[in-house]
Parts: sequence; structure tokens; C-alpha cells
Amino acid sequence: MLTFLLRRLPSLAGVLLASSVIAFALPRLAPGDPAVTIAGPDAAPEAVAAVRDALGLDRSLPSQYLHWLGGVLSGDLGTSFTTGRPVAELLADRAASTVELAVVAALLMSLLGIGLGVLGGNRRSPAVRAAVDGVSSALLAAPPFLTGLLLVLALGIAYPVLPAGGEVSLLDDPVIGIQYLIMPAVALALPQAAAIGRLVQTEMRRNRGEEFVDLATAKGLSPGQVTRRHVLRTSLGTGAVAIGLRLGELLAGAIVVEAVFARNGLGTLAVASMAGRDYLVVQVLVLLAVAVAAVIQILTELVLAWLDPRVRLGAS
Amino acid sequence: MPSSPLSVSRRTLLAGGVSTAFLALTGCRSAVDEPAGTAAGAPVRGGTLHLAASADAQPGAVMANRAGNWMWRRLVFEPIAELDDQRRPQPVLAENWTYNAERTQLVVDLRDDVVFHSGRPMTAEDVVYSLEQVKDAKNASQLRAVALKLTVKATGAHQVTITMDKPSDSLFDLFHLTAIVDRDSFGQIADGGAVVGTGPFVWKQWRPKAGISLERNPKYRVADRPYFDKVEVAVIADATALQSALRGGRAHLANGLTSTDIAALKADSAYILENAGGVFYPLGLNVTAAPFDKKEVRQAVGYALDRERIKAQVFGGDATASDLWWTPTENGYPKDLAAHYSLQLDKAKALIEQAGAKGAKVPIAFANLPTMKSLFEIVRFNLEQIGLAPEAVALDTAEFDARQVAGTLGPAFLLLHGMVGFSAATIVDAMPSLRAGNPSKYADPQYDTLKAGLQQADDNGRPKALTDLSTYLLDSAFSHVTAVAPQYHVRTAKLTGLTTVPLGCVVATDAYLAA
Repeated sequence: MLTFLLRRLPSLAGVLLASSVIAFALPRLAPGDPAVTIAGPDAAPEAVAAVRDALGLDRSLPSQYLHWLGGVLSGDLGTSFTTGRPVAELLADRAASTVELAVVAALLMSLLGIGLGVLGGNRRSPAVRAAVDGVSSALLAAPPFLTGLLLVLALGIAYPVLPAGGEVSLLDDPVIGIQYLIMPAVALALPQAAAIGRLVQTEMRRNRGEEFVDLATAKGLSPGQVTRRHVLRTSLGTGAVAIGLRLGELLAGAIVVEAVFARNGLGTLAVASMAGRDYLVVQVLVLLAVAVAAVIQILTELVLAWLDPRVRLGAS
Repeated sequence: MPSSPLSVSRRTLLAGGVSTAFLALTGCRSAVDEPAGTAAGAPVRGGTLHLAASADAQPGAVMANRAGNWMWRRLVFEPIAELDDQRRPQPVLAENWTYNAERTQLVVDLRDDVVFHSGRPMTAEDVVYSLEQVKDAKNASQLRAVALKLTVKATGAHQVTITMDKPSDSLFDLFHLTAIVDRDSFGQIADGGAVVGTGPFVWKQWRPKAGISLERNPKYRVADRPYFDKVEVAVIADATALQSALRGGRAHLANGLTSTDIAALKADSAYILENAGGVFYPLGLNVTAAPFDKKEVRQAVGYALDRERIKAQVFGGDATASDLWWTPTENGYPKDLAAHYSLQLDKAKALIEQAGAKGAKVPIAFANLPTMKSLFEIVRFNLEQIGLAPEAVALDTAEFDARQVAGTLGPAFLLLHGMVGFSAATIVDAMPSLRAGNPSKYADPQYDTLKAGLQQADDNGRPKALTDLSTYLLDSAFSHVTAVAPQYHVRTAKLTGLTTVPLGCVVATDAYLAA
């Protein structure tokens, strides 16, 4: 397994190096000038020039890239142009918020998704199935920002039982923190849960036609036991794979949901940094996103290799 | 076969467990009540003031007028003097001031009971240092040109003397905008590491692009002030979330709301609009690019603009349709010239024909913001009416700003300048559309002479100087004001005693939450 892992490392390093070039070039391709953002649109040209000089933006692009890359490799992610703070400090300050939202949303997504799947895939009356199908379709069609706005209007303003926006860390105050998380996590989780539910539901219906289910029924097991022990268990593998795939989309959706609920996570940091042409923050966030995706990919391969010797042996 | 009793009990247990866990987590306390905190009732001390801003703080630009600093700058820092809503200077850190007969020297006596948050008493040297910082280009003050004309000296422990070659009508604008900073720590202000002022609140924490925490200054020079124990400023860039923060009770005051949201809140008695200054919306014309290299074409544009329609449709009627760069509160305001370019399409068409500019393509650059897009649509219609062929050049805000500074906006452009509140003498030097190096690329010695005449005029000579300059600007027509619109902070009606000074900063020394 260690050999399997070591063989993946060169490709990981290559991906990250290529990504660093893209991450460096990407924000600079957008028109605009961070020096103007800092000096202000009504600043005199000499004020803008003074800022540009102070930020090192008057150096050549290769020189700026190598300086940044050297810093990243030595653990220095640079300093934000607009705030003067270390980029690492900004990221550390925001990461907890996004992680909290993602974890709670992932839990809700998994519970609701499998719940919907079981409800739809079980032997129910046609009316119940139709209702489940209708709910799933509605949830699939509703993007998180729309669900979020509706939740804010209903539960944050019209009947204010939950805070309309903001956040308190779960670590600082779990009782208050969870209330700030409920609406954004639900908005984020619902469409993903519906997609998972559809997959589980389809898989359960397919498994009900298998011979081992007929055998279990013939052995005299109750419908509930057949569902739990045979149909559901064999269908959950699909759900698990779907949950894994949906985690990535969850993080992408967090950017929108963070804005709607005024949460200060990595998503809002990315949007604000791009708007302010805060290049170094954007660069590190892009690189971080690639690194997280690459690590998840490698972990997935490791799990698959562990589960299935053919993958392991095929790789060697 | 009967179903297992266990399956029922599992469901019951699951449902019961989830319900119990939720109640245990959320039933005890409600986050909805948190923002109100302990602050409620008559003017009693305590509680937290919650403010919401659409832009992040820029402590490094504390010497400039920036929307991101409006929510905290006047809470942490104080000026020597500031302008009231009638533009009359009121002392803050100054006791009094005296001009010499020629108005070329001003002696300012400072309060002797002012202490920085660091515990160090404020002296005249701090005022000298602060005004010198305005001269430094990297501090990006809009009034750098004003400060550069001054010599400031400490002539006593609590007295400064300001000397000018020629009289200046912009001194109190400069005072209004300039925060008196602690010279020992100003070098560490940009990253929020040391933000030390003399104001009623002390800077405690800055989470960049997220918010600021301030705490009551227990040694503030005014007894029993401020009322609030803390101030929390949340940065909420999303317009919908900003409105939700106000309506949901998370914020007591918000700035940066869209005009649509403001119109809706205006009709609700639970909210009050605070006038936070205003914005000039000019249409700039590049005098070095065809067809605007001909004065007749520039003047034709002036006659073609339907300012009343702009006022009604872009600003919902809440704007001033004026051709002038000054507001009516300006001493000597030439009221007769305010509608010089009344809508006269026939005259405009004739001028276009006379200049041979019929059918000329006119790209108009503007920042891709809702207000600017609405403004462009009316301007486009108006210019089409007189035979020009306008084209939209909608730019991302960052690109628009960069092009504005670089002077590459093209033949025509829609700008916005939040400088309502400055005097005319200051505006001609500070307003990008009018100052030397303007994006219209307009320069003329006569223009410089008229500007200098206004800046050096005393109260008696100002009306004529302002009329002469206004007449010149209208005739040269290199930039047309389309509207002057107010901008608002919106606060809950329960928030009492909070004021907004010209240019947008909030003052919360006497603020509290009524019951």
C-alpha cells in the first residue's frame, strides 16, 4: 500500500506545480489593478504608483511568480495586498466556518438522502411514492441560493425563529452556533440529498427484483426485515459512492450559501479577494482547492485499492 | 408475520432522539435574540451596537474617504474639527481657531484633555504628524493637494499654526477628513495591528473581509460616554444578505444597501434613513477624442440629457437634477445656472449638424453596476435622439477603476464621485472629473486661473468666483453632471442618538437602543 501511495506522489507534485502556474495567471487575466483597488478609484496616479511599488507589482511577472512559489515551498503563503495580513492567517481564520458548514450539510445530506431513498424505494402506496418523487423533483430543481432566500424570508424575517444571517462558531458556543448553521446547511444539503435519494431509491427498486430478496421473503422474513437486511444494505453502496461524489459539489455550493447567509467562510473570502484583485489570496485558494481535490482522489484510490485487490495489483 | 416490535421502537427512538437533541441544543437559548443582547431601554450604558457594512475596512486608508471605513473611523478616531450638516465647522479636538487678517495663517488651539487609546496624551506634534501624513501619496487622501499647500508647525504643547502662501477655502474640509493619529503606532496601522485614536471606542480586533470589534473607551474625555460597551461591524457584501441582516435584527444600521431595498425600507416606519452625503453622476467626455474634440458636440450632449427622467427612473425621484458640481448649501451657489442645459433636443440636433458629427459612434464606458446600467440606458436613448450612435462598454468595477486612473476610458464615460459634502474649492482639486489630470484630458490656463480664484476667495468674493467658474465649466462642457443623488445608511428606529457626518462616517458617542 505504501508503494502504491509513493507511486502517486510524483503525479501529485506535477499537478500542484501546473496548478500553481494557473493559479498565478488566473487572477491576472482578469482586468483590473490591485493598486487601484487599494488607492481608490479617485486616487491620483502618483498615489497608485506608490501603492504598486510598495506591493512589488512593478516587477516582472516571472519574477513575481518565482518569488511567490519560493515562499509557498518554504511555508510562506505571502501577504494579502488589501489587508496587509499573512494569507495563511486569513485562511486559518475562515477555514473553520466552511468546515462546520460542510460537515453539518454533509450529515444532513446523507441522512435526508438515504431517508428519501428508503422512503421512495420501499413498498409503499403509489400515493406515497408519488409524493416522494414530487418532493425529490422539487428539491432537485431548487438551487441552494433560492432555498436559502426562501428560508431567510420565512424563518429569519417573517417568523424569526432562526438568525437570518451571520455565524457563531460551534466550538465557541454550540447552542447558538447550531442555530446559525441550520438554515444554510439545509439550503446546501437539500438538492444534494434529493440526488442521493433518487440513486438509493432506484437501486432499492432494482434490488427488490433480485432472487436473494425472493429467497428472504420465502424464508418468512417480515417486509421490514427484508428491506433492512437485504434490500437496503445492498443498496447503500451506491449511496455511499454518491455521497462521496456530492461532497465536492457541497463545497462549491458553500460559496453561494455563505454569501446568502453572510457567513465568513473560504467562499466569501475567495469572492471578496477576487473582487479586490487580492492576487495572493486568490492564488493560494485556487492551489488549496486543487490540493484538496488531488488528496481526496488519492485517498479514494487508496480505499479502492484496499477494498479491491485487482486495483492494487493492476496498479503494480 | 407480525412486524418486529423492535422496528417501531427504533423509529420512535430515532425520532425522539433527534427531537430531544434539537431541543437540548436550541431550546434553551435563541440566536435570534442574541444581537439585541443587553442593550435595550432608555439611554443607559451597555450593550452592543451592531453595524453592517457592504465594504471591508481599510485601516491603511484612514486618511482617505472610503466607504469601508464609514462604520468605524469616527468611532476610533477624531478630527480637529468637523463639518455639520450645513457645512459649518464644529470643534472636536480643537478648542478654537483664529485666522490672520490675510487669511493666510490659522492658529488652532487644541484641547489639553485628550488621551490616545495607548494612554499617551495627545499634543500638537500629533496634529502636525497627522496633517503631514495627508501629504504622503501612499495614504491616498483625496485632499493631498490641499495639504501640500500648507506648512504646519507646533507653536505650543497644544497649539498648531498653519501657514499658506495664499488663502484656502478648503482647510476645514481637510480637517473634517483627517483623522488625528498616534504618531508612535501609525506605521503599523495598515494591517490593523495598531489602530490607535482618541475616539470613544477602542479598536480590538479586525477579521479582514469579515468584521471589526470595538470596545468602549473607558477613559474617553466626555464623561459617561459612550453608552454602548461594544461595537461589532459585520462586512456583508451580498445585497440580499445585507438587507436580511437589517430586517432580521442582526444589524441596527446598514450601509451599502441597494436603492431598491432602500426604497422599500423607507416606507417602513421601523427604519430610518440617515443621509450619508451623496454622489455626483457625471457623463465625462474626452476632449482629445472625436467627436468630443468639438465643443459644439459636447454642448449638444448637455442639451440632450433628460435629467428629470434620470432623476425619476434611475433614482426614484430622490435626486437633484442639476448641471452644477456644487450643492445648494454652498456659499454663493449660482442657482440660475443649475438648469443651464435644460432639455432642448432641437438645439442639440442643430449643434450636432453644425459640427458634422451626425451618426458618430460614441462608445460610453461605465462600471457594470445596476445604477450605472440604468443611467446608461437613458443616456443612450438621449444621444440617439440627437443623431449620435452610442455603444455600451460595460466594465467590471475593478477594470473600470483601473482605466479611470490610467485615463483610458475612451471618448465618453459615466462616473460616480461620492464627494457631496466638500466645498467647491476642495472639489475642483479633489474631484477626479475636474482636477488636473482629469479623465476628460481637459486642461486650460484660464480654467486654472478660475479655480485658483475660487480657492482664494473670501466670503464676499466667493459668489462671483463660483459663478465665473460654473459658467466656464458649463461652456467648456467636458463633463456633464447628470444627477446628484443622496446615499443612505438605514437604521432601525430603536437606535437613537446616532449621527452621520458629511461624507458618511457614523458617530455613536451618544447612541443607544431605545426600549
